[in-house]
Amino acid sequence: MENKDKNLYRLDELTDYKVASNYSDVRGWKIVDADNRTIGKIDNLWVNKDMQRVVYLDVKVDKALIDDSRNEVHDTIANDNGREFIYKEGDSHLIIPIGSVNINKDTKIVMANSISYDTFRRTGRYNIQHNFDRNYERSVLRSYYPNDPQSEFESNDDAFYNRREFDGH
Amino acid sequence: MAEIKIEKKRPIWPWIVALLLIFGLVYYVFLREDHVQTGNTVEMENTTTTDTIAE
Repeated sequence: MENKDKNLYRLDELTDYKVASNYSDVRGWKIVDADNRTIGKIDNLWVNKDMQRVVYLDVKVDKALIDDSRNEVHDTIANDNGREFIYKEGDSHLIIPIGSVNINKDTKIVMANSISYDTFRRTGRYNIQHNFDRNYERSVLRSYYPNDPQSEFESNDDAFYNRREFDGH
Repeated sequence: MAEIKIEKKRPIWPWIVALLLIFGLVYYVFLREDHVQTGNTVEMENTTTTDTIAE
């Protein structure tokens, strides 16, 4: 599995690991965008085993957002016939770097304060049955952070995660 | 910015062993006390019978 090569695992795959004490297990919590619109629910946590921390939140995207992105694709096709689109039936999950969100323990809501609804709508999703590769990670980061230098996304090893987007500090 | 760390789960078997040891110790202590009390009761009955015959 390609994700294993990156030391990336879903937390529920690691039966001998759990969220550390004094940290919130946000699985099942709602996630909202910069305008407090619901994006979906946190379905799982992607962890780097060597770094012993979460690097991505796996979000099951709300149907409303999927429908919105589908409508945008149809509009795009209507206006520009040559354009390729990536969404397939079943692509209902996306990932968010842990450093891009804030956690409200009182309301049990995760807030992606720096990412808009439109950005989430345009960000590529993946099918949970197939996992994702480093190219998908790069495309997601480029979608969320289009102004970051592209060379910073080129690393193929764990150095990829030594970035502010994955850092909680 | 959020951070979520993970840690290894602590194995449960040391706690099970400790509980078994405690139960074993408690069981041993109570069983030992029951044996001592049973021995004293038998001696008192013999003494009473002997006194009656002598009169």
